[in-house]
Amino acid sequence: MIIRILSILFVLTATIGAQAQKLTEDNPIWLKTDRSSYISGDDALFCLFLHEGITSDTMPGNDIFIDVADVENHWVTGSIVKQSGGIASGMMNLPDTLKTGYYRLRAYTCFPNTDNHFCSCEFFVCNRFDKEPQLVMRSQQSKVNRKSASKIIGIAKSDFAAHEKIDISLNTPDSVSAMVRIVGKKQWDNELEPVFGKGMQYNQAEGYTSLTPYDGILVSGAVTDSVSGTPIDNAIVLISLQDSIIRLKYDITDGEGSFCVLLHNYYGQQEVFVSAFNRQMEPLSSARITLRNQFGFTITGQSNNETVLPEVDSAELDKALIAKAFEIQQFAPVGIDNRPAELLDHFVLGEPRQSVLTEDFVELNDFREITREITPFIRMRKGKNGEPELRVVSDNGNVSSNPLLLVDGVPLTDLNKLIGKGSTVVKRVDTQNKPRHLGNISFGSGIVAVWTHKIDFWENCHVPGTYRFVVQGFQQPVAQPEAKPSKDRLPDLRQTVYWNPKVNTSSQKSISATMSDETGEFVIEFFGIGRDGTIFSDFKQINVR
Amino acid sequence: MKYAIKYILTAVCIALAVTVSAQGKMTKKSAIQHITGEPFVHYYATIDGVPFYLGDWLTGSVTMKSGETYDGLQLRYDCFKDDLIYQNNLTNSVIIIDKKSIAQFTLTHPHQGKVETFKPVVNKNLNEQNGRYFAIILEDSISVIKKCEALEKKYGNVNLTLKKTGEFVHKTHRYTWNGKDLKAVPRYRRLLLRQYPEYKDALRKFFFHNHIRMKNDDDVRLLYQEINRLMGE
Repeated sequence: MIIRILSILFVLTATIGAQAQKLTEDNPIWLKTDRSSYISGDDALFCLFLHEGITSDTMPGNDIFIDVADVENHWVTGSIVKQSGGIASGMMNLPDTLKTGYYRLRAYTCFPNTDNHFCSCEFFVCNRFDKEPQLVMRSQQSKVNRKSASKIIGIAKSDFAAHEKIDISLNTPDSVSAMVRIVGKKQWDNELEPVFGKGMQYNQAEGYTSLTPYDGILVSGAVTDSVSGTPIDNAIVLISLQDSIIRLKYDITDGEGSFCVLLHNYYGQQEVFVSAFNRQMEPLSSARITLRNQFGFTITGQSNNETVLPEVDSAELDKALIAKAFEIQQFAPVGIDNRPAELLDHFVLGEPRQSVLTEDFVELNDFREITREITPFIRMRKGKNGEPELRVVSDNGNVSSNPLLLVDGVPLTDLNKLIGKGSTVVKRVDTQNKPRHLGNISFGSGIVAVWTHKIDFWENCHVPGTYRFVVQGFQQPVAQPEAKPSKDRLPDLRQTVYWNPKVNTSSQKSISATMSDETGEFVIEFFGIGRDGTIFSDFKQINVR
Repeated sequence: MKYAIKYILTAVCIALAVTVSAQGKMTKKSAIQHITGEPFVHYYATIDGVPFYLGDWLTGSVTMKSGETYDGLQLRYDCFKDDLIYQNNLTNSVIIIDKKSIAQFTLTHPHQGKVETFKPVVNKNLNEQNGRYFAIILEDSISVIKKCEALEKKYGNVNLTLKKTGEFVHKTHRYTWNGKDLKAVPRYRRLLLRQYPEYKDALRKFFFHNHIRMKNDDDVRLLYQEINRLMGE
């Protein structure tokens, strides 16, 4: 009987253990960082493994938000990474101004009205200018419990010389997407267990559940009357970017004045221009436009914090200082997917009826002269209120006023800003003299697109009613460059000796890495996810003399 | 009791109103789409018949090159001008969708329920940048595609009572497509066997066992599936 009970207990324990070692729909994100402690100004590298429930095409907003917050959930910095096949990786720059203390790297899906899952990893940051570290807050997370007998990593020996090349064979039973890294033993020992959860509080307004499932960054905001503060309903909001192609997005506000769009193919931080129009495409100059914070989440229920005296690893501090002094870049950006952007950002202008290059003609002093002399389909007249007005002539001679005017891809509502610009500034004028439709909005008088030589019209141009916001685009992927030869004059003090978050064992059965100038104990770690979500992990300790 | 029933009915009415308004809001948001195009100009009524595929508005979906798919749209395929026309009920407009931005579209037969997929095919010989729409019968290393055309057949004498100058005549042609060249699918078995002399015996057997009729789309699909298989061996 006792044996039977014990065997049942053993089976139960094994089942629970197996569940913990698997990505499930309840714990769909697993986050790994390259180290457990950083110096302010460092780049924290991370990789993410995602359950297929998140990566499926039917799940909207399947890109992953990564941010850094302190243990009390005060937001520090954030980024958005594209996931591909259940894996995402990138790096997070830790600002120089960060105080010494514990911080959390948080990864989460970001779509309102869905169960937003998250995974967070805690790490330590030492401010390199902080001479006397004070007591700092940390949560009571336990250190990672390492037990591995999977024998995935194969190496010929365990003792290596500095700068020696290590060949590592990978023996996994299945096709596994994995991360392989080599880090100092001390860093590895101090790693804390990640925390999983769901149901993060989202600060944005509701009502966006029915957006077309599509990759992209959700940008949302509200349009209100600048005087009364009441929300403006049924207003057309155009969101654009100063660029050499038209990248125009739109939404129509609801009863609460809310709007949202999905941006794609936007990398790094981008300045977007937002303006509001009524259904007749007349600018709403009295509208006040606000954009909501893209990183509006707070994680609740983690308040078991304690105060500790931080340990500062002087070797890590020295390495960071040398890297800063010699401007050693440990990671370089790699190429991004450059699909034809004009189609990704919608074919608003269509095939223009006429494109005029100003350099083909004599120099013209202002835009009025340009319209009079070289653009037969555009005319400029005085409107009823005495203000200049643009008109477009259709193929059958009909004249319609107030077409959508775009300058460097951004809608311009005040023509006076353009009148003074001659052919030294204006490079090309594209005219579409037929009405155009973009989804549920129409530009009945056509579109006039003006391009400047330097695509810099908006740098010194401020038009009331056209708001500018900086939004976070996708993070450009980064990769570790090849190790430099040992004869290089600069010391090779890589803080993470090897980091490869894109290993796929179906095509890659071995990897090779070169050790740095540093000696001591290091750990080679393999961490991967199989097709069914099973976690494969292994580690091997090596000595470098 | 009377009052209780009144209160319950009022509460039910309020609940229904709230639900309906919430649904309205959702519908509005889901309607956001990014189809681009220009207004459709109606044909002059001097030509008999309609130039549209199957004559009427059909339910279908459009997949843009940017990856977005919009389902349940009211579409018409203009076989005469080779344009896809879309009726936007929200703006009460009829739009010719930009061919350059379409990856594919589908049309559902109103009675049979059969769904046909159309894609723009760029044939270098025709020197067309944006391609022409072909119905896809089979997609493989040798694809089979179908062109639905409407031609204007002019009347010898103008019908004075109806004031019609001609009529639209619909025709379909089937082609094979290897990614570069279009070739007409032979009308007869013997012509097809001549095209593939190396698989003559195998194809003869296939014709015999499957009762292939060269006029039937499904049969032609089966036949070219077999040819692709034989070529892959």
